[in-house]
Amino acid sequence: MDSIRVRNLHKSFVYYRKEAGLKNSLKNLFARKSLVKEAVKSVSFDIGLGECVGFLGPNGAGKTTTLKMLSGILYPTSGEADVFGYVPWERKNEFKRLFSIVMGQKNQLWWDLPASESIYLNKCIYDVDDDLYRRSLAELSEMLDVQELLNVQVRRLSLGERMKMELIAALIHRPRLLYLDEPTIGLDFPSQKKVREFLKYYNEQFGATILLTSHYMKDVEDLCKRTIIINEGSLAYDGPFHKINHLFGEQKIIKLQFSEPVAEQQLVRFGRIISGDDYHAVLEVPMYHLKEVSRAMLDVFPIIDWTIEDVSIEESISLLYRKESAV
Amino acid sequence: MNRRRLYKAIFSMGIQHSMEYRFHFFLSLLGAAFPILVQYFIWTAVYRYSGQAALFSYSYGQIILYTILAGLVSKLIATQFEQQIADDIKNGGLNKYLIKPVSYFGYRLVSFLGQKVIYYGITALLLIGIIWISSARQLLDVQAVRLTLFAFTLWGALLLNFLIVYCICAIAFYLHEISYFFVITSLLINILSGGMFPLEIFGESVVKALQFTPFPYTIYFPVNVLSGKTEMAAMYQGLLVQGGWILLFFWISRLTWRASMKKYSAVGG
Repeated sequence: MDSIRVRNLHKSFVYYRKEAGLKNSLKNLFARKSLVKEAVKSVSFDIGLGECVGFLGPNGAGKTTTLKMLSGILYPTSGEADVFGYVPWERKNEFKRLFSIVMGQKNQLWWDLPASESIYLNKCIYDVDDDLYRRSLAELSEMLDVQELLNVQVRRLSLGERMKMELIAALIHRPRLLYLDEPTIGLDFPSQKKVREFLKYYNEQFGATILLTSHYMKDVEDLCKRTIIINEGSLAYDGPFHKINHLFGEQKIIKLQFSEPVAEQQLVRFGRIISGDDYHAVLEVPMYHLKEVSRAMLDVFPIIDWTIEDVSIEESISLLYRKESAV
Repeated sequence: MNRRRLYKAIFSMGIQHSMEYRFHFFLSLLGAAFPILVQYFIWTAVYRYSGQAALFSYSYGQIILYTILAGLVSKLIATQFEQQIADDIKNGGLNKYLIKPVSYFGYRLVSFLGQKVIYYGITALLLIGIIWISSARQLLDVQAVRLTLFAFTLWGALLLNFLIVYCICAIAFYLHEISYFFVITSLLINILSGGMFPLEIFGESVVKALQFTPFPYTIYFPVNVLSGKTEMAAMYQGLLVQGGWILLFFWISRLTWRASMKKYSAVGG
């Protein structure tokens, strides 16, 4: 059985462009040019009951817009969606009881009050039974290790602590469907890991369906067997994560800084040069060569600083396209 | 569904919220005193130099009493959520209410009443003092009927003002920068409601015209019920009219918000 069915979902926004400067501001005062942005272009997919799906894509790809339509916040321009038998944007109360949405960059807790107040308010909003409420709160706060912080004002909490509170507040009514929009953004590694473990547990324990967007590959890798990649509003990939895993893990980015000028020709044999000048270079290096390449470069070049980074989502997606057009 | 419990929780959060900012709370109390003080000096000067016992049908004592009462009532019914609502609309804070089985209107109203509870209590204490003093000075003929009706119409004023402002807030769906707009409208509404000085100052025709608007029923009317300016019959009639305005604005607010919500596009991609 499917929990989410999306057909040709489409959303366009009207917006205004303003060039920099006072003169253009004045011009805009009288005649504004309205432009249309196609945020989501005929997207279709199905998500099964209890599935955990990762929604990947660069900034502005339309991930959040899709989530907003599927939670009923936005009306689509056209297209259909069926979520647990409801049309989300009809905003039926029965539908609202089924799900929760957590946004990493938006705060849903009451800023000036302790998190426990917001959680209690959610208990009342969703009409959660007293007994279940007590048990859930104890369980969730213990798992996330924040029992001590429940009575601290939200604005005094760290970002990671706040995120954990957001999760507790969102899960107190045991939703069958959970939308997560960048839940780990800005968190340190231990917090990221904790949140991931927790979500995995929730997914397995309660059979909840999870739709998650993220910038961090690790989120998707740990939690989701299936990945949907969206780029410029359209679906770019829909399938098992392990099949595209290599696109993301296969290459590494090495950033170098030199004390003396180094010519580009000298670098070519170590990897693909992405950018660089006499004193700096950014190289793309295959994962399996990383060790020897690093060692060799440290020996040969006057390196004063260097870092190894993952390939960004934007890069990976362009890799994905390159690969598809090659097939 | 157990909505009573939900609204109890929202109400108590409103109270906590008003106490969280204790300093702000006392400042706003103090803030009520300043305009009253300024007006006291102005009226004292006006009456002294006019040489007349009564101006605009108010004796000196009556006008001071009106100023104090109107100042207190306008502070009591004042709303402070305009900015929050405009912010919710502009920055997408409305989303968190849209996705939950709770009504934004209900949330705002109950939380507003919760935030007002303590203020209401303090105002009541001040009023008892003022009523006691002015009756001792024979400015006020204290009648049980008037006191009861006053307490009653004060709640009506609170509700009516909430609804008017809530309707005005819907404009934030259409205008993106609205803070100054609120400053102007709230000042204008306060003047038209008789919050600054009795409406008689504007002349008889203006008073008559204003009777057809909801504004006098938030400050001018309640104060006159207490002070005895309003006749017995007009008092009951006024209460009915106030009730009518409340119903009408309740309906308008539903309508405007439903229409605006359709247009609302949550911010941030």
